[in-house]
Amino acid sequence: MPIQKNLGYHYDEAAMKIMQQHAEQMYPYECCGFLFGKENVIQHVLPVDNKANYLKERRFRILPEDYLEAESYGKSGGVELLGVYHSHPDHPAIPSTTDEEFAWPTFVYPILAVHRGRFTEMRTWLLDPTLQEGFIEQTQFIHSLILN
Amino acid sequence: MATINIPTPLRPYTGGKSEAIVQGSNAYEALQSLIVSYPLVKSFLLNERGELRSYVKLYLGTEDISSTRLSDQSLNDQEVLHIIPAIAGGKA
Repeated sequence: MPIQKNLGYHYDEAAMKIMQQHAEQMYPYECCGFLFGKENVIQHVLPVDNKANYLKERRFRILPEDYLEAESYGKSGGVELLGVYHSHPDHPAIPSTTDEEFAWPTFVYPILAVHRGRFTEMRTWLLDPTLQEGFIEQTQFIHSLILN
Repeated sequence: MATINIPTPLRPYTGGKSEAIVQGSNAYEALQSLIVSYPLVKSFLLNERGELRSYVKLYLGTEDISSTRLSDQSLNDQEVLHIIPAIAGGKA
């Protein structure tokens, strides 16, 4: 059976709104945060501080302590840590070489483009499961999910 | 035997396990023990020279030992090693 490379990701619209507002609030800096849910369904997001040491307009970094906290948050909430979102201020929602350099397999990476402070689009990316290629764009669906 | 916490993105390569009990008296041996049990994690943790990759952090409890000599980091049975992905990126 061939490996499926486009899994299709579903986002709860409330989670989507939080990411969008976060991206706009942090403009002109990049924002970042974690995604939680199950398999290919994003139920919750957790915004975190961008701790890049410099050039936050085009870089983001999440502290190891914040990562550990996110793992605990997922465990206590009975959800999986599925990935990381971030924004690209005044730039397309396409992964950069830096994004690819730090990407982890199986984590999903939505990128939000913000133009002059206004959210314009989000696109969702996942590393090729075979690790032969780089990021592969995923189909995304945004709708109201019935949450536990 | 110490415990290693496996981060979420590596769990598909550890049969879904979030932690592993490993052999070894120091952090280097513990990592090697993990790799023997789950060989697929090796390429994500170590570079071609067998060193920890720059985007992987290793914590012993709450202390970052990533840039230390791992064989100098002795372990006892109660201690927990955390493999933590360095999360970063940006538009350029």
